[in-house]
Amino acid sequence: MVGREQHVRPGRRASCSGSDPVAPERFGWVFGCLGLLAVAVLAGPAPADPVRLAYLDPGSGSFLIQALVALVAGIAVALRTYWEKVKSLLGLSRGAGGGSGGDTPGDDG
Amino acid sequence: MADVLGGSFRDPAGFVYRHAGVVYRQVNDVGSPDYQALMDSGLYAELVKAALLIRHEEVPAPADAAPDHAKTLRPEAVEFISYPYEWCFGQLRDAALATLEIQRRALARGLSLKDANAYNIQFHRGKPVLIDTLSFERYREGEPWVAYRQFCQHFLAPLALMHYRDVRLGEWSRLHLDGIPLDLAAELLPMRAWLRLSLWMNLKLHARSQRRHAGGAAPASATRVSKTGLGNILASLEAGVRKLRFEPGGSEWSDYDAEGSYGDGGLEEKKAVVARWLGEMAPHRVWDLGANTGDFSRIACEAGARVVAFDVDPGAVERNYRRVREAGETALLPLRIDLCNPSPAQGFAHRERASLVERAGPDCVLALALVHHLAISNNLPLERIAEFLALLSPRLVIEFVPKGDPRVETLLATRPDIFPEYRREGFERAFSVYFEIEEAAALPGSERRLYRMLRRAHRA
Repeated sequence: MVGREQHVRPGRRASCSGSDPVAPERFGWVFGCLGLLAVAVLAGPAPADPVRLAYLDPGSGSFLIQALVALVAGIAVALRTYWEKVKSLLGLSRGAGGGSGGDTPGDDG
Repeated sequence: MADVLGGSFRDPAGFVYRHAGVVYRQVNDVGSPDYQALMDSGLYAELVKAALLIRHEEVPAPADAAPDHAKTLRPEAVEFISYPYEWCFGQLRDAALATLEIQRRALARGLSLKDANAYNIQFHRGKPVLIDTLSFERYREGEPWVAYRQFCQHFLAPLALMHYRDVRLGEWSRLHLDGIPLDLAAELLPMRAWLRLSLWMNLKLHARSQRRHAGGAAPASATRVSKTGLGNILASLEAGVRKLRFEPGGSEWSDYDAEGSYGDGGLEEKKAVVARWLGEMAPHRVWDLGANTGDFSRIACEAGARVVAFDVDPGAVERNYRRVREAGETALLPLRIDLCNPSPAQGFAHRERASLVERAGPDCVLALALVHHLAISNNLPLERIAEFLALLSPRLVIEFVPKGDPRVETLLATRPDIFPEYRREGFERAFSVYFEIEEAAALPGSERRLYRMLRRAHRA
């Protein structure tokens, strides 16, 4: 399980906070990715045009992406809240590993 | 009207100027409703109480106020204006988190940040504080965060590059004054960065969206984001920022000033002499050049000075900043500066960001265990070093580390000795051109000497 988690999240550094990530983060992450994948596929490939430098246009691209970020981060928050409820119903404590560094909703771990 | 400050011309809501040495902010008519909303909503009081926004008071309009003048504000003075390219990783990260916290509180009170510019954050009494009182606008339901792009460019992209690639990339902010272009960051970050959802969305997909929609206006229906959605975006950005870290390892000078450089009692004597001289001079403002993690800067703080502690090593500055935060120190600002290439005047017409020398104003400079790095590692003639230090400050406490000292021998080990002037007499001769040597003290157990100098009147 530990090995698998490291496989899923190789971006984590030794220098990061040492706590074990809680399950709902992983859960939210996977679902978030699925959602994003769907949206990314729908959106199609970006035009490979190196001449049109992104920073020439400050507005529309940055505005449009926000709806997507809001949606995906919202899904992650909802899944996490849901998972916490399920856990508390099952009487699982959230003592070990929870809390540290992941104190914000939408935390993708 | 007095001297309008260089970087203050982009926002039509108002501008900043200096009059008789005091900084004022004018609110124009067009910016007045948003300013009033900030004050009436309770957001101003809340943010000032939380030390997230600079305190100000409204003062009478100047006699020569322009017709569109609405209000004149006198903000609390910030001791030293620093720039993101002079901050260590932890300072940029704390500034990012402060910006997100301000936006979260603003939304809760029906306002929103209209810019998320890192230059609007300054370190005031040890903490990151928003200094631009006119950065707020009234929130309009359904509108995306207009400063989202700026936040990603000014904070998220450089922090991610420093975390995943190299902490020295923080200096890149000096090249890109409006933040690191997201397509550039996306190109340089490694694949594993994209395993973090928030970085993938807010940097990579964001850059892609910018490229895809460059030049075209987005239809309002496609950009609608609810207030809850904005909260989710802030949470996603915060999650991204919080996961980014920098641990200063065994970097260049981390153990530099350990006892080893001095013989028996040498370091204690050095501390005692510096403390005595600072006590006698009682400077209000001290710059500690080559401060390392700030041991001597703190001696200056104890003498009652407000201190800016400069070092070239990002790890040393990071450690120093952590000491400041952990101890809640309010009189010490650590910054990263390469004295051989200090921050230049930058931006439009060279007037948006001031050079280091333009921002100088210390009563006293400390240059301890520094001169051999400048003179030998960087081939700078002693007289040029003296000239530069005289440009910064009328008073100087400087340590001369002669040949024969283990540190200098290390520097000379791999190169021919082309420094015949680099000895005590040559040092005193070069510095006497610009300074009068008031006092000198030998340090026991080594050949090092401390000097207390006063700038010659005609060199001021």
